[in-house]
Amino acid sequence: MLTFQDIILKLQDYWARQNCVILQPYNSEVGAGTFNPATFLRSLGPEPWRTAYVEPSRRPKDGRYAENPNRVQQYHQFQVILKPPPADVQELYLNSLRALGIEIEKHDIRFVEDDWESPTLGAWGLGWEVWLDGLEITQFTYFQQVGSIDLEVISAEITYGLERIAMYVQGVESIFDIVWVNGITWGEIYKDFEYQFSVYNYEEADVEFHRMLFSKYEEEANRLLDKKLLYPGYDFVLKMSHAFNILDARGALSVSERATYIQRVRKMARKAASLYIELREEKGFPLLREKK
Amino acid sequence: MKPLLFELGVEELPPSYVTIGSRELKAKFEDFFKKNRIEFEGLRVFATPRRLAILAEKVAEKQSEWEKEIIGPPVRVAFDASGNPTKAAISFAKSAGVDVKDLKIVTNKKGEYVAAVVKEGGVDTAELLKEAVPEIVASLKFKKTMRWADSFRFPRPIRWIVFLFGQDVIGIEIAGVRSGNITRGHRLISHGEVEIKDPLSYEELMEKHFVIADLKKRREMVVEKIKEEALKIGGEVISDDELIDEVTNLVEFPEAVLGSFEEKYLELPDDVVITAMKQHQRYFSVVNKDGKLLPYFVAVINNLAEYEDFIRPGLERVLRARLEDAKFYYEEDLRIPLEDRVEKLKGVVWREMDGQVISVYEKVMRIKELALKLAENDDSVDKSVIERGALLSKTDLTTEMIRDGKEFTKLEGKIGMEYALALGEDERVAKVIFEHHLPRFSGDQLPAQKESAYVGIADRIDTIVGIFATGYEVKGSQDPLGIRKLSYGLIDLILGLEIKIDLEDAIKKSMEIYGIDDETLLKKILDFIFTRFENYLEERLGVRYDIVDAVIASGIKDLVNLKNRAVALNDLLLKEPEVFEKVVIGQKRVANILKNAGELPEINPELFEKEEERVLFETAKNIEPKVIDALNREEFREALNYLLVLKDPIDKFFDNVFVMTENESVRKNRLALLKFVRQIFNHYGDLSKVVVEGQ
Repeated sequence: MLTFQDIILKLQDYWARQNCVILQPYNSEVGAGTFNPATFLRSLGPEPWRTAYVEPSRRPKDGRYAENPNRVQQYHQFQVILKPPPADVQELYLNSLRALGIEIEKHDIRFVEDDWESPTLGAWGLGWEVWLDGLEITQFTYFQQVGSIDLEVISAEITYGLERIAMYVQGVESIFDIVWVNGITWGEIYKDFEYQFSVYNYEEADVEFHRMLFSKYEEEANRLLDKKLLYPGYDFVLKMSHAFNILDARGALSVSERATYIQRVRKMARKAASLYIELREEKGFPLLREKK
Repeated sequence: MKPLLFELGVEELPPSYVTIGSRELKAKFEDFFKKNRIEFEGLRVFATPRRLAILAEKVAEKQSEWEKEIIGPPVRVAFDASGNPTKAAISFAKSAGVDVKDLKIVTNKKGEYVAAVVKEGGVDTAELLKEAVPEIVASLKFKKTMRWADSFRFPRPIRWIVFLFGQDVIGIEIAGVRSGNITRGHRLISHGEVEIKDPLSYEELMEKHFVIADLKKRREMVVEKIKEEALKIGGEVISDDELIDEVTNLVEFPEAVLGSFEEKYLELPDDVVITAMKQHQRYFSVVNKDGKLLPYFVAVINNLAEYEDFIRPGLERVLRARLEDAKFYYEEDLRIPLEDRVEKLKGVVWREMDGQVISVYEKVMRIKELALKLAENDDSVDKSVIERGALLSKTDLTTEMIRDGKEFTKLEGKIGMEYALALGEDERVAKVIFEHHLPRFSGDQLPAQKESAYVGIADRIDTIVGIFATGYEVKGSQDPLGIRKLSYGLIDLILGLEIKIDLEDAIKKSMEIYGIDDETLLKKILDFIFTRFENYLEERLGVRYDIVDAVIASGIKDLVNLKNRAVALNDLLLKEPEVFEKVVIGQKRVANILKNAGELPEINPELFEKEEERVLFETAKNIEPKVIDALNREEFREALNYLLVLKDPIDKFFDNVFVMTENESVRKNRLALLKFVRQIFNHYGDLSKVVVEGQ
């Protein structure tokens, strides 16, 4: 049987062979692999870039105290960025499913229109959700804008939902029953984690404290980005986003307040994005030169 | 004549774009051939998610030729006194490319001119296509487009182009992709590149490679195959054209698969089960001959039927997860009594006004009060149903199914109704919860019960008043809160169920409930709704806006009454346009002459000097009570007939009586008479507002 970690290893191996830089998850809470600087920042500017990595993604609002077989507040994405996308990018993707041992010829694979948007990151793109026998297993997007900046070179972002794929391949009905490796299930590793974080996200997280954190993170991000300290500054943008997610899960934000918070994160994200382009330009866009 | 094939190979287009794109592509090619005078026959378009293609069975290899006359200098300039061509004639002939002696003379409005007849056209079709087709592709209009390589925009990346004229490739480049004679078959079951040798073989060749390129044919296959699958268990699919269109454009090679789910999920409301299948999964629901939902579904897949056993388990598992979600919500939700849900509405935000958060609970209380007030004098409705229905109208906003249920959020109202029924509420009360949302969009069904309509009207008026009270403005197409749409819904309800309420009074009552006392606001809201009312009658019933405007001037605020009034007046306009026009012109004269009349005395018959004055007065006096009586009975045609009796006396009056005479008391008496006439007409409406031709 294909275990959860087999899936990760096979995808890493496959995309490594496509000349992707295999990275590790970012060490800060993120809502999706898109927030990782290896995607958010690297998709900006003219330089080519290919990467693949697993991203544990936190969605505080999706927690269900480990009671719902399909929803959890932290799941795993496998993220691939191809910048610029090769003409056969869809074929490359389909071959990655073949690499997982899925006989796609005998199944129903569909690219179903789905336009993606991240209001906090000021990012959007057009693409599809990919269906495997009616199950959405991947989000496939051609980025058009990131950090509220129109992209110079387009990236294709391929985001696999690893739990979805594992449930399909293993034929299990609950995330918690996914076999991570022989003898150890997903539930063994994350069930208590899910329960405790659900309690925290919905009940225990201190609202005033998080409001304060959000504002402090914002100040810090702003101050650091002003000093052209891009990476530390961007880290605080990520922290703003997570603090916002916690407040949102706690139901602490009214509709208009929510919109304002999103706008505040987006503003800092834009600042980081333009600083990234500025700094890379100062260096003469090194990855462009190396290619020549 | 040679066959022509153009195929644009793309990554999967959004389903609606497949249809739109193919229609537009065909129209543009047709237009191109006609504009360029290129003969063609048998033009067809093909469309799947991965390709848009044009096939013409026969296309002329060259443009037709035609003669064109170019006008040159006037004859007197072109020839000298002895009739020899001048310099002007010679250089004109040269620039037109003809011999001087072939110039002819033409006569037009301005006089005699020399003209050159030149031949145009005859250019190679291939050359013209080469130039035009990239422009045609770039000019196709889609809602959302993207970049992927260079600056070219299209809904999804273009990956290959086939462009064949006969056997020859027409070389073009679009978005960095060069044309050739290579296409691709089905993504999964056809392998590698497919060479097209003859354009005419296209459809058959594609089918060999598992692509049903013809959209109509593919749709028919979908319809046929889903029917067959349902028939296997003696059922039939719930017909759904929208869903059929969508799935047709999600596949290149349609097959249908019959799947099942556990019977226990049928305990859920039908709409929930159907939504779980349709909304996200795009499955068709299956019913038996009596229309009862069966624990089966039919899915359209993009692969061979022989693989259905590999595919079915996945389809069933995804649906099971969705139904399980729904069942979880349903069971959890039913544990909570509806009274508690009303309380919970205190925690649901309706909107923020002036920095204050207003809960849905407050809104519900207002709706209840207003609905009861509006229905006060209507004995045909059960007030207790209105009261309870209004109270429970928004309870489903607190349910997990609506708050958290993703695809099920669309069932707002339906869920409330189902839960109310499951918890033993009166059926009529339950119906109010669903029906007060109706109509949800233009052309949607209307409530079956008047009780629901009262709640729906109260809800909409309450929202409109609440939003306008914050200083909200609707400008041009700018209406983010959708007040315009809401007003149309309100009018639809009032007219559709013939709810007779005084609109001004209803708005006033709503404002009172809000605790707002503001005449300007009241007028603003009333004007806004009346403007929508004018548009509504024009769009739906073809009644001219100026006619509506005229009847609104009667001061009546009951929309049902106004509508019937306007329709009767409009009918008169259509049936007897000449009579109608004369009446209107008469009223315009009356209105004009009264403009600066100032204070007028009572009519004094003693002061009449002419017969026409007396006749008009007598007729008017005689007619007024009849008009009023007919209007009270809402017999508008009858009222108009009485008014028409005044037409001749008015015309004769104007023909024979000079109103603005020197004698002040006679003049004022005549003006007073006209004022009286105008007042009688105004019971119906101000006809001077109607626009007549030649004005």
